[in-house]
Amino acid sequence: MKPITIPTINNNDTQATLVEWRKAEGSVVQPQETLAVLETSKATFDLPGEVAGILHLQATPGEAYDFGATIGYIFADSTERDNFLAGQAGKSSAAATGDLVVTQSAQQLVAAHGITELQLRSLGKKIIKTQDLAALISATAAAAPAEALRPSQQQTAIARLVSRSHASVPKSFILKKIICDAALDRLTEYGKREGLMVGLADVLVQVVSTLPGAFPFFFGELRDDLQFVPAKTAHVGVTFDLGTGLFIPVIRSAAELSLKETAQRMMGLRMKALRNKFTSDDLTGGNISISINTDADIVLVSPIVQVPQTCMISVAAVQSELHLSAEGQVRTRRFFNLGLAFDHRVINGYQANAFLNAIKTGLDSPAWDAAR
Amino acid sequence: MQANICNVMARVFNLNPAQITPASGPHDISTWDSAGHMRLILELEQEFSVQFTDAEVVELVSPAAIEAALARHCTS
Repeated sequence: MKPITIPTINNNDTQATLVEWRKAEGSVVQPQETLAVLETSKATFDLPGEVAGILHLQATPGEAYDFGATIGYIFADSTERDNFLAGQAGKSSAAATGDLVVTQSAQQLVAAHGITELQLRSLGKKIIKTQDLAALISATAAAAPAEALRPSQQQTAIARLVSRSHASVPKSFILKKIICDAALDRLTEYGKREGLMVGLADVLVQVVSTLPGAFPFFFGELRDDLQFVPAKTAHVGVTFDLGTGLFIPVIRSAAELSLKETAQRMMGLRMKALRNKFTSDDLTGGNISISINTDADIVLVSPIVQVPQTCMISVAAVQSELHLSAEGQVRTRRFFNLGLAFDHRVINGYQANAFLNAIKTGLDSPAWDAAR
Repeated sequence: MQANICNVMARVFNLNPAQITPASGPHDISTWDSAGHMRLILELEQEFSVQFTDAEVVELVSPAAIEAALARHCTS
Protein backbone atom coordinates (compact mmCIF):
# COMPACT_ATOMS: atom_id res chain seq x y z
CA MET A 1 0.00 0.00 0.00
CA LYS A 2 1.62 3.25 -1.14
CA PRO A 3 0.25 6.49 0.35
CA ILE A 4 -0.38 9.41 -2.02
CA THR A 5 0.80 12.58 -0.29
CA ILE A 6 0.76 16.27 -1.07
CA PRO A 7 4.37 17.20 -1.93
CA THR A 8 6.08 20.36 -0.69
CA ILE A 9 5.50 22.54 -3.71
CA ASN A 10 7.09 25.83 -2.78
CA ASN A 11 8.32 27.82 0.19
CA ASN A 12 5.46 30.31 0.24
CA ASP A 13 2.64 27.88 0.90
CA THR A 14 1.96 25.17 3.43
CA GLN A 15 -1.13 23.77 1.76
CA ALA A 16 -2.45 22.87 -1.67
CA THR A 17 -6.03 22.56 -2.82
CA LEU A 18 -7.12 19.35 -4.51
CA VAL A 19 -8.70 20.68 -7.69
CA GLU A 20 -9.78 17.34 -9.10
CA TRP A 21 -9.00 13.66 -9.27
CA ARG A 22 -8.03 12.57 -12.76
CA LYS A 23 -8.62 8.92 -11.98
CA ALA A 24 -11.70 7.30 -10.48
CA GLU A 25 -11.86 5.35 -7.24
CA GLY A 26 -10.74 1.77 -7.80
CA SER A 27 -9.15 2.41 -11.21
CA VAL A 28 -5.86 0.77 -12.19
CA VAL A 29 -3.06 3.37 -12.47
CA GLN A 30 0.49 3.30 -13.82
CA PRO A 31 3.68 5.03 -12.56
CA GLN A 32 3.91 8.72 -13.60
CA GLU A 33 0.28 8.77 -14.64
CA THR A 34 -1.45 11.96 -13.51
CA LEU A 35 -3.68 11.13 -10.56
CA ALA A 36 -4.84 14.57 -9.49
CA VAL A 37 -4.53 18.29 -10.10
CA LEU A 38 -3.36 20.42 -7.19
CA GLU A 39 -3.36 24.17 -6.79
CA THR A 40 -1.32 26.43 -4.54
CA SER A 41 -1.76 30.16 -4.22
CA LYS A 42 0.48 30.62 -7.23
CA ALA A 43 0.01 27.82 -9.70
CA THR A 44 -1.63 24.54 -10.54
CA PHE A 45 0.23 21.34 -11.25
CA ASP A 46 -0.31 17.67 -11.93
CA LEU A 47 0.34 15.07 -9.24
CA PRO A 48 1.79 11.90 -10.78
CA GLY A 49 1.56 8.47 -9.20
CA GLU A 50 4.76 6.76 -8.12
CA VAL A 51 3.76 3.12 -8.48
CA ALA A 52 1.33 0.94 -10.39
CA GLY A 53 -1.74 -0.41 -8.62
CA ILE A 54 -5.36 0.19 -7.66
CA LEU A 55 -6.31 3.71 -6.65
CA HIS A 56 -8.20 4.59 -3.47
CA LEU A 57 -9.31 8.21 -2.96
CA GLN A 58 -9.29 9.69 0.53
CA ALA A 59 -9.63 13.40 -0.18
CA THR A 60 -12.36 15.68 -1.49
CA PRO A 61 -11.87 18.02 -4.46
CA GLY A 62 -12.11 21.66 -3.43
CA GLU A 63 -10.56 21.04 -0.01
CA ALA A 64 -7.09 22.30 1.03
CA TYR A 65 -4.58 19.85 2.48
CA ASP A 66 -1.27 20.41 4.25
CA PHE A 67 1.93 19.52 2.44
CA GLY A 68 2.68 15.94 3.50
CA ALA A 69 -0.98 15.02 4.04
CA THR A 70 -2.14 11.67 2.71
CA ILE A 71 -4.94 12.06 0.17
CA GLY A 72 -5.18 8.50 -1.07
CA TYR A 73 -3.48 5.15 -1.50
CA ILE A 74 -2.34 2.90 -4.31
CA PHE A 75 -2.81 -0.78 -3.48
CA ALA A 76 -0.67 -3.48 -5.01
CA ASP A 77 -3.69 -5.70 -5.72
CA SER A 78 -7.42 -6.06 -5.04
CA THR A 79 -6.85 -8.24 -1.97
CA GLU A 80 -4.86 -5.51 -0.27
CA ARG A 81 -7.52 -2.97 -1.18
CA ASP A 82 -10.37 -5.16 0.07
CA ASN A 83 -8.61 -5.70 3.40
CA PHE A 84 -8.07 -1.97 3.78
CA LEU A 85 -11.71 -1.13 2.99
CA ALA A 86 -12.94 -3.82 5.37
CA GLY A 87 -10.83 -2.27 8.12
CA GLN A 88 -12.26 1.17 7.38
CA ALA A 89 -15.81 -0.15 7.50
CA GLY A 90 -15.15 -1.83 10.82
CA LYS A 91 -14.28 1.42 12.50
CA SER A 92 -16.94 2.99 14.67
CA SER A 93 -19.18 5.51 13.00
CA ALA A 94 -19.30 7.47 16.21
CA ALA A 95 -16.53 9.59 17.66
CA ALA A 96 -15.68 9.81 21.32
CA THR A 97 -14.77 13.07 22.99
CA GLY A 98 -13.60 11.98 26.40
CA ASP A 99 -16.68 10.35 27.96
CA LEU A 100 -18.98 11.85 25.29
CA VAL A 101 -20.02 9.89 22.23
CA VAL A 102 -21.13 11.85 19.14
CA THR A 103 -22.84 10.01 16.29
CA GLN A 104 -21.44 10.45 12.81
CA SER A 105 -24.32 12.57 11.52
CA ALA A 106 -24.12 14.69 14.65
CA GLN A 107 -20.37 15.13 14.11
CA GLN A 108 -21.10 16.69 10.73
CA LEU A 109 -23.43 19.23 12.32
CA VAL A 110 -20.91 19.95 15.08
CA ALA A 111 -18.23 20.68 12.47
CA ALA A 112 -20.55 22.70 10.21
CA HIS A 113 -21.78 24.95 13.01
CA GLY A 114 -18.56 25.24 15.00
CA ILE A 115 -20.08 23.76 18.17
CA THR A 116 -17.53 23.39 20.95
CA GLU A 117 -17.00 20.46 23.32
CA LEU A 118 -18.06 22.72 26.18
CA GLN A 119 -21.38 23.35 24.45
CA LEU A 120 -21.86 19.62 23.88
CA ARG A 121 -21.25 18.92 27.56
CA SER A 122 -23.77 21.61 28.49
CA LEU A 123 -26.46 19.29 27.05
CA GLY A 124 -25.82 16.89 29.95
CA LYS A 125 -25.93 13.77 27.77
CA LYS A 126 -23.44 10.94 27.31
CA ILE A 127 -24.50 10.21 23.72
CA ILE A 128 -25.14 13.14 21.41
CA LYS A 129 -27.45 12.62 18.45
CA THR A 130 -28.53 14.96 15.65
CA GLN A 131 -31.79 15.92 17.33
CA ASP A 132 -29.92 16.90 20.51
CA LEU A 133 -28.12 19.66 18.63
CA ALA A 134 -31.11 21.74 17.48
CA ALA A 135 -31.04 24.13 20.41
CA LEU A 136 -27.28 24.59 20.19
CA ILE A 137 -27.44 25.30 16.48
CA SER A 138 -30.15 27.94 16.96
CA ALA A 139 -28.12 29.61 19.72
CA THR A 140 -24.92 29.51 17.64
CA ALA A 141 -26.69 31.00 14.61
CA ALA A 142 -28.22 33.79 16.69
CA ALA A 143 -24.85 34.68 18.22
CA ALA A 144 -22.94 34.48 14.96
CA PRO A 145 -21.47 37.77 13.72
CA ALA A 146 -22.00 38.99 10.17
CA GLU A 147 -20.40 36.71 7.62
CA ALA A 148 -16.71 37.50 7.33
CA LEU A 149 -15.03 38.05 3.99
CA ARG A 150 -12.32 35.48 3.33
CA PRO A 151 -9.18 36.57 1.47
CA SER A 152 -8.34 34.63 -1.66
CA GLN A 153 -6.12 31.59 -1.35
CA GLN A 154 -3.27 33.57 -2.86
CA GLN A 155 -3.72 36.41 -0.38
CA THR A 156 -3.86 33.87 2.43
CA ALA A 157 -0.44 32.61 1.30
CA ILE A 158 0.86 36.19 1.27
CA ALA A 159 -0.53 36.58 4.79
CA ARG A 160 1.44 33.54 5.95
CA LEU A 161 4.59 34.83 4.27
CA VAL A 162 4.45 38.31 5.80
CA SER A 163 3.41 36.98 9.21
CA ARG A 164 6.34 34.59 9.18
CA SER A 165 8.66 37.39 8.16
CA HIS A 166 7.42 39.77 10.85
CA ALA A 167 7.60 37.05 13.48
CA SER A 168 11.11 35.85 12.70
CA VAL A 169 13.11 38.64 11.06
CA PRO A 170 14.50 41.56 13.09
CA LYS A 171 14.18 43.91 10.16
CA SER A 172 16.00 47.16 9.62
CA PHE A 173 15.46 49.55 6.77
CA ILE A 174 17.61 52.07 4.97
CA LEU A 175 16.59 54.50 2.23
CA LYS A 176 18.79 56.25 -0.27
CA LYS A 177 18.02 58.99 -2.75
CA ILE A 178 19.29 58.16 -6.23
CA ILE A 179 19.66 60.97 -8.76
CA CYS A 180 18.91 59.19 -12.00
CA ASP A 181 18.88 61.65 -14.94
CA ALA A 182 21.94 60.13 -16.57
CA ALA A 183 20.75 56.54 -16.14
CA LEU A 184 17.26 57.33 -17.47
CA ASP A 185 18.67 59.21 -20.46
CA ARG A 186 20.89 56.24 -21.28
CA LEU A 187 17.97 53.92 -20.83
CA THR A 188 15.85 55.92 -23.27
CA GLU A 189 18.68 55.89 -25.80
CA TYR A 190 19.14 52.15 -25.34
CA GLY A 191 15.43 51.48 -25.83
CA LYS A 192 15.33 53.56 -29.02
CA ARG A 193 18.49 51.98 -30.36
CA GLU A 194 17.41 48.41 -29.66
CA GLY A 195 13.67 48.90 -30.32
CA LEU A 196 12.81 47.60 -26.86
CA MET A 197 10.51 48.38 -23.98
CA VAL A 198 13.05 48.61 -21.20
CA GLY A 199 12.80 50.22 -17.78
CA LEU A 200 14.68 51.06 -14.64
CA ALA A 201 13.63 47.79 -13.01
CA ASP A 202 15.35 45.82 -15.78
CA VAL A 203 18.59 47.69 -15.19
CA LEU A 204 18.33 47.18 -11.44
CA VAL A 205 18.03 43.43 -11.93
CA GLN A 206 21.18 43.58 -14.07
CA VAL A 207 23.11 45.68 -11.57
CA VAL A 208 22.06 43.66 -8.53
CA SER A 209 23.03 40.43 -10.28
CA THR A 210 26.67 41.57 -10.35
CA LEU A 211 26.94 41.93 -6.57
CA PRO A 212 26.95 38.45 -4.90
CA GLY A 213 30.75 38.31 -4.86
CA ALA A 214 31.14 41.61 -3.02
CA PHE A 215 28.09 41.19 -0.78
CA PRO A 216 27.68 37.47 -0.05
CA PHE A 217 25.33 37.93 2.93
CA PHE A 218 22.76 39.64 0.70
CA PHE A 219 22.30 36.61 -1.57
CA GLY A 220 21.38 33.30 -0.01
CA GLU A 221 19.49 31.56 2.71
CA LEU A 222 19.55 32.14 6.46
CA ARG A 223 18.58 28.98 8.28
CA ASP A 224 16.81 28.82 11.61
CA ASP A 225 20.08 27.95 13.38
CA LEU A 226 21.61 31.18 12.00
CA GLN A 227 23.77 29.29 9.56
CA PHE A 228 23.94 31.33 6.37
CA VAL A 229 24.25 29.57 3.02
CA PRO A 230 25.52 32.02 0.39
CA ALA A 231 24.43 31.76 -3.23
CA LYS A 232 27.02 31.55 -5.97
CA THR A 233 24.89 33.41 -8.47
CA ALA A 234 21.99 35.82 -8.19
CA HIS A 235 18.48 34.53 -8.76
CA VAL A 236 16.50 37.74 -8.47
CA GLY A 237 12.85 37.71 -7.41
CA VAL A 238 10.83 40.67 -8.68
CA THR A 239 7.42 41.72 -7.40
CA PHE A 240 4.59 42.09 -9.88
CA ASP A 241 1.17 43.24 -8.81
CA LEU A 242 -0.90 44.13 -11.84
CA GLY A 243 -4.23 43.86 -10.08
CA THR A 244 -4.39 40.09 -10.40
CA GLY A 245 -2.53 39.45 -7.14
CA LEU A 246 1.02 39.83 -5.85
CA PHE A 247 3.57 37.55 -7.50
CA ILE A 248 7.33 37.32 -6.98
CA PRO A 249 8.70 35.40 -9.98
CA VAL A 250 12.42 34.80 -10.23
CA ILE A 251 14.93 35.84 -12.91
CA ARG A 252 17.40 32.97 -12.65
CA SER A 253 21.12 33.42 -13.26
CA ALA A 254 20.43 37.07 -13.98
CA ALA A 255 24.13 37.89 -14.36
CA GLU A 256 24.29 35.75 -17.48
CA LEU A 257 21.65 37.83 -19.26
CA SER A 258 22.10 40.92 -21.39
CA LEU A 259 19.89 43.90 -20.66
CA LYS A 260 17.79 42.97 -23.69
CA GLU A 261 17.34 39.41 -22.42
CA THR A 262 16.50 40.70 -18.93
CA ALA A 263 13.89 43.06 -20.40
CA GLN A 264 12.41 40.17 -22.39
CA ARG A 265 12.26 37.93 -19.32
CA MET A 266 10.69 40.67 -17.22
CA MET A 267 8.08 41.41 -19.87
CA GLY A 268 7.33 37.71 -20.23
CA LEU A 269 6.75 37.49 -16.48
CA ARG A 270 4.46 40.52 -16.54
CA MET A 271 2.40 38.85 -19.25
CA LYS A 272 2.24 35.66 -17.19
CA ALA A 273 1.03 37.72 -14.22
CA LEU A 274 -1.69 39.29 -16.36
CA ARG A 275 -2.69 35.97 -17.91
CA ASN A 276 -2.39 34.02 -14.65
CA LYS A 277 0.03 31.61 -16.30
CA PHE A 278 2.72 31.26 -13.66
CA THR A 279 4.09 27.81 -12.92
CA SER A 280 5.61 26.75 -9.63
CA ASP A 281 9.03 26.87 -11.30
CA ASP A 282 8.62 30.59 -12.12
CA LEU A 283 7.99 31.44 -8.48
CA THR A 284 10.67 29.55 -6.59
CA GLY A 285 14.43 29.64 -6.18
CA GLY A 286 15.06 33.34 -5.57
CA ASN A 287 17.92 34.35 -3.28
CA ILE A 288 17.29 38.11 -3.26
CA SER A 289 14.22 40.15 -4.20
CA ILE A 290 13.30 43.56 -5.55
CA SER A 291 9.99 45.19 -4.73
CA ILE A 292 8.99 47.40 -7.65
CA ASN A 293 6.54 50.18 -6.84
CA THR A 294 7.01 52.71 -9.59
CA ASP A 295 3.44 53.89 -10.02
CA ALA A 296 3.23 57.68 -10.02
CA ASP A 297 3.75 59.46 -6.70
CA ILE A 298 4.89 56.44 -4.68
CA VAL A 299 7.63 57.91 -2.53
CA LEU A 300 8.65 55.20 -0.09
CA VAL A 301 8.24 51.45 0.16
CA SER A 302 9.44 49.45 3.15
CA PRO A 303 9.29 45.82 1.99
CA ILE A 304 9.30 42.68 4.06
CA VAL A 305 12.22 40.27 4.01
CA GLN A 306 11.16 37.04 2.33
CA VAL A 307 12.29 34.31 4.70
CA PRO A 308 14.81 32.65 4.29
CA GLN A 309 16.31 35.47 2.21
CA THR A 310 18.15 38.20 4.10
CA CYS A 311 17.07 41.37 2.35
CA MET A 312 14.68 42.95 -0.10
CA ILE A 313 15.33 46.00 -2.24
CA SER A 314 12.56 48.49 -2.97
CA VAL A 315 12.23 50.93 -5.82
CA ALA A 316 9.76 53.82 -5.72
CA ALA A 317 8.55 56.12 -8.49
CA VAL A 318 10.80 58.55 -10.30
CA GLN A 319 10.17 62.11 -9.16
CA SER A 320 11.34 65.53 -10.28
CA GLU A 321 12.67 68.30 -8.09
CA LEU A 322 14.33 71.67 -8.36
CA HIS A 323 17.94 71.96 -7.28
CA LEU A 324 20.75 74.46 -7.33
CA SER A 325 23.42 73.56 -9.87
CA ALA A 326 27.15 74.01 -9.28
CA GLU A 327 26.89 77.24 -11.28
CA GLY A 328 24.20 78.55 -8.97
CA GLN A 329 21.37 77.98 -11.47
CA VAL A 330 18.00 76.47 -10.55
CA ARG A 331 17.55 73.26 -12.52
CA THR A 332 15.24 70.25 -12.48
CA ARG A 333 16.50 66.76 -11.90
CA ARG A 334 14.97 63.32 -11.50
CA PHE A 335 15.45 60.94 -8.62
CA PHE A 336 13.93 57.88 -7.01
CA ASN A 337 14.14 56.40 -3.54
CA LEU A 338 15.95 53.09 -3.29
CA GLY A 339 15.21 51.15 -0.12
CA LEU A 340 16.69 48.10 1.50
CA ALA A 341 14.95 46.04 4.18
CA PHE A 342 17.49 43.70 5.73
CA ASP A 343 17.77 41.02 8.39
CA HIS A 344 19.79 42.60 11.16
CA ARG A 345 21.03 39.20 12.34
CA VAL A 346 23.42 39.00 9.40
CA ILE A 347 23.55 42.48 7.86
CA ASN A 348 24.37 45.75 9.60
CA GLY A 349 23.68 49.31 8.53
CA TYR A 350 27.21 49.90 7.29
CA GLN A 351 27.01 46.99 4.86
CA ALA A 352 23.47 47.94 3.85
CA ASN A 353 24.62 51.43 2.96
CA ALA A 354 27.58 50.02 1.03
CA PHE A 355 25.23 47.71 -0.87
CA LEU A 356 22.95 50.57 -1.92
CA ASN A 357 26.03 52.60 -2.89
CA ALA A 358 27.14 49.71 -5.09
CA ILE A 359 23.75 49.70 -6.82
CA LYS A 360 23.96 53.46 -7.27
CA THR A 361 27.44 53.12 -8.77
CA GLY A 362 26.23 50.27 -10.96
CA LEU A 363 23.42 52.39 -12.39
CA ASP A 364 25.97 54.97 -13.47
CA SER A 365 28.47 52.44 -14.80
CA PRO A 366 28.86 52.06 -18.56
CA ALA A 367 28.48 48.28 -18.34
CA TRP A 368 24.76 47.63 -18.35
CA ASP A 369 23.80 49.09 -21.71
CA ALA A 370 26.86 47.76 -23.51
CA ALA A 371 26.01 45.11 -26.09
CA ARG A 372 26.59 41.57 -24.81
CA MET B 1 -4.52 49.23 -39.73
CA GLN B 2 -2.17 52.08 -38.78
CA ALA B 3 -5.14 54.31 -37.94
CA ASN B 4 -6.65 51.64 -35.72
CA ILE B 5 -3.33 51.18 -33.94
CA CYS B 6 -3.06 54.92 -33.34
CA ASN B 7 -6.62 54.98 -32.01
CA VAL B 8 -5.83 52.21 -29.53
CA MET B 9 -2.65 53.99 -28.46
CA ALA B 10 -4.51 57.27 -28.07
CA ARG B 11 -7.11 55.57 -25.90
CA VAL B 12 -4.53 53.81 -23.71
CA PHE B 13 -2.20 56.78 -23.31
CA ASN B 14 -4.93 59.42 -23.20
CA LEU B 15 -3.69 61.29 -26.27
CA ASN B 16 -5.13 62.82 -29.42
CA PRO B 17 -4.55 60.32 -32.28
CA ALA B 18 -3.12 63.14 -34.36
CA GLN B 19 -0.25 63.42 -31.88
CA ILE B 20 0.92 59.90 -32.66
CA THR B 21 3.38 59.28 -35.48
CA PRO B 22 4.73 55.97 -36.84
CA ALA B 23 7.89 56.58 -34.79
CA SER B 24 6.18 57.51 -31.51
CA GLY B 25 7.34 55.45 -28.58
CA PRO B 26 8.10 55.37 -24.88
CA HIS B 27 10.77 58.03 -25.46
CA ASP B 28 8.20 60.68 -26.36
CA ILE B 29 4.98 59.48 -24.68
CA SER B 30 5.42 60.08 -20.97
CA THR B 31 2.63 57.69 -19.92
CA TRP B 32 4.17 54.81 -21.90
CA ASP B 33 5.87 53.09 -18.99
CA SER B 34 5.90 49.35 -18.28
CA ALA B 35 2.37 49.41 -16.81
CA GLY B 36 1.14 51.45 -19.78
CA HIS B 37 2.82 48.98 -22.09
CA MET B 38 0.91 46.10 -20.55
CA ARG B 39 -2.38 47.96 -20.98
CA LEU B 40 -1.48 48.68 -24.60
CA ILE B 41 -0.69 45.02 -25.31
CA LEU B 42 -3.98 43.85 -23.82
CA GLU B 43 -5.95 46.46 -25.77
CA LEU B 44 -4.20 45.55 -29.02
CA GLU B 45 -4.79 41.84 -28.46
CA GLN B 46 -8.46 42.50 -27.87
CA GLU B 47 -8.84 44.92 -30.77
CA PHE B 48 -7.11 42.69 -33.33
CA SER B 49 -7.97 39.27 -31.85
CA VAL B 50 -4.35 38.13 -31.63
CA GLN B 51 -2.03 37.02 -28.85
CA PHE B 52 1.53 38.28 -29.01
CA THR B 53 4.48 36.16 -27.92
CA ASP B 54 6.71 37.23 -25.02
CA ALA B 55 9.52 38.03 -27.46
CA GLU B 56 7.20 40.25 -29.49
CA VAL B 57 5.68 42.06 -26.54
CA VAL B 58 8.94 43.69 -25.49
CA GLU B 59 9.56 44.96 -29.04
CA LEU B 60 6.17 46.58 -29.70
CA VAL B 61 7.42 50.07 -29.00
CA SER B 62 6.10 52.07 -31.95
CA PRO B 63 3.07 52.01 -34.28
CA ALA B 64 5.38 50.76 -37.02
CA ALA B 65 6.62 47.84 -34.92
CA ILE B 66 3.07 47.01 -33.86
CA GLU B 67 1.85 47.08 -37.45
CA ALA B 68 4.65 44.74 -38.55
CA ALA B 69 3.82 42.27 -35.76
CA LEU B 70 0.11 42.35 -36.56
CA ALA B 71 0.88 41.75 -40.22
CA ARG B 72 2.88 38.65 -39.25
CA HIS B 73 -0.04 37.34 -37.19
CA CYS B 74 -2.54 38.03 -39.97
CA THR B 75 -0.53 36.12 -42.55
CA SER B 76 0.41 33.18 -40.31
